[in-house]
Amino acid sequence: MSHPPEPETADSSAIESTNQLLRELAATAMYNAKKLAWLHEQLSKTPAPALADLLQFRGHALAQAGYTDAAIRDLSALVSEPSRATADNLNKLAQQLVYRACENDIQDAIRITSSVAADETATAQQKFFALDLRAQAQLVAGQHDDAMASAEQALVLHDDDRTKAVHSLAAERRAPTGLSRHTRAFSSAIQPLGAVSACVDNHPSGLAQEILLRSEPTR
Amino acid sequence: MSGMPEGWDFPSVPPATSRRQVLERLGDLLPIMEAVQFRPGRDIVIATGSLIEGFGNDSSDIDLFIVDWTDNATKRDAQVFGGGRTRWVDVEYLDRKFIQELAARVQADTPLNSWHEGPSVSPSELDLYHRLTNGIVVNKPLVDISDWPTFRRAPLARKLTLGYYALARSRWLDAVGALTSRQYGQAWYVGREALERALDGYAAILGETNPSPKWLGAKLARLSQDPFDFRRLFWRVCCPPRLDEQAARRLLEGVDSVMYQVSAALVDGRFRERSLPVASASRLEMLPDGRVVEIDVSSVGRVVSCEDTTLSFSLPAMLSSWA
Repeated sequence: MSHPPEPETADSSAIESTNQLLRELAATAMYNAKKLAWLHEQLSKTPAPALADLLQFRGHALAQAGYTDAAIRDLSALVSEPSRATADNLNKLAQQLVYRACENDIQDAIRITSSVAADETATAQQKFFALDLRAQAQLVAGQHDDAMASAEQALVLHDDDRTKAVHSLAAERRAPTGLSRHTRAFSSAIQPLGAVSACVDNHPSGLAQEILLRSEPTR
Repeated sequence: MSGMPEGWDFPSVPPATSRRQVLERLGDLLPIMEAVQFRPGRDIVIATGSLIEGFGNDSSDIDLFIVDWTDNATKRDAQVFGGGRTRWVDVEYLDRKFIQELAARVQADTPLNSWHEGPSVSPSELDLYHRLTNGIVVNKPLVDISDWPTFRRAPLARKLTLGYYALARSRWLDAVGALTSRQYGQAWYVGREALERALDGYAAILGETNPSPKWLGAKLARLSQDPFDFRRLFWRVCCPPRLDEQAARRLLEGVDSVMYQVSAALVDGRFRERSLPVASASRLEMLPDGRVVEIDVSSVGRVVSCEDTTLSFSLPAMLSSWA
């Protein structure tokens, strides 16, 4: 009588990458919790908030908590008010559109981030975030040259490992030669955000999904 | 307005020219933007309609165009909803290709000698063009709108005036025929219609291009210039010399009485005896879903929701209660 084979022990690199993923998840959850508490505090400090104030707090909080569809609904309505079409609100909306990636979301995100990048009143940090998001969106859209160009523009403003990862992913998809060490490291750092919608999973680009699901505890 | 008959009043607020004025007239638009699922990366929202144009009143709808200014516009159906607001909201979705083609068609030259060939642009399209000419963009477009057409009023006025001229001339010929046949009542009635259409053309030339016949009096009252003082002719022919609330109410009650019988005949094939005095009676409205709604005469001009259970009931129940 044969015995079932003993389960094979995972190799050390797989264990380490899983450990790293769990650390990233914990860090992201803590960051989101802090950000939500901060938003709550800011709302309580706002005297007689207008409807637009409520939409703004709600939209950012929903985005932070991973409720992407609801965040897009609130942030979209919010930025219809010209005084609320700020770089921060638009970037947050574009980020959520990239996460959702349904129907026209990616093209919309490219247009929105392009408007922020061209906004003379936006700060360098806001422009960096817009360009980084645009690079992600263009990567998902298969516009690899554009994605590389956007990532390069972003990197001029701020040196960021994740933006470099987007750049290398775009370069690899433009001329596939296998995943680089840098890309593998990036891929291992991804984490699933709570409310990433099912359509992301169905997106034809597996690498795009990695980009979409990456953590961003400092953004 | 100097010279206007006593008791007469027309809406005469100037058209809105800024987003601030739009918000003053329409209120906060954010709940509407949520309800219509505004898409910042592609949509241009234009406030339009009588409130924007200065012709509105307490019961006027909020009219919005939402224009998808991308190459792959998705078809969306028009929406009309109350959404718990005091005004109903009428939303119409348009796209870039339609807007550009509409502008090109209206702005294409129309030879003067073509007036008898009929309109080259449909009345509903002229109305749409007029609304776009008067409309105010309420959001900050995030799409490239450098190819947004300029909605010039002059070509619209020309096309409208040619159409009005054709109508006026036709009725004028009828009126002259009646006059020469000593049918003075017919001549007056048809001549009055000819006058109204001719004045529509006159107002259009002077910049008042709203094509709806209901605003003729308001358009004339608001003219910044009236070189021939034709509005006095309108007041003299079309307006009684004195007007008070009771007179206006009596007219509406008369209309209501006729409409009641017409609607009764449509609903159950016969006219009806009205047991209630006209002033407190009602008329019937037939809804697209098959229900019939009774509307009290006092609510004339006010939108009544079919969801209001006090005012809506099924046709069989109505028939049995009135049998």
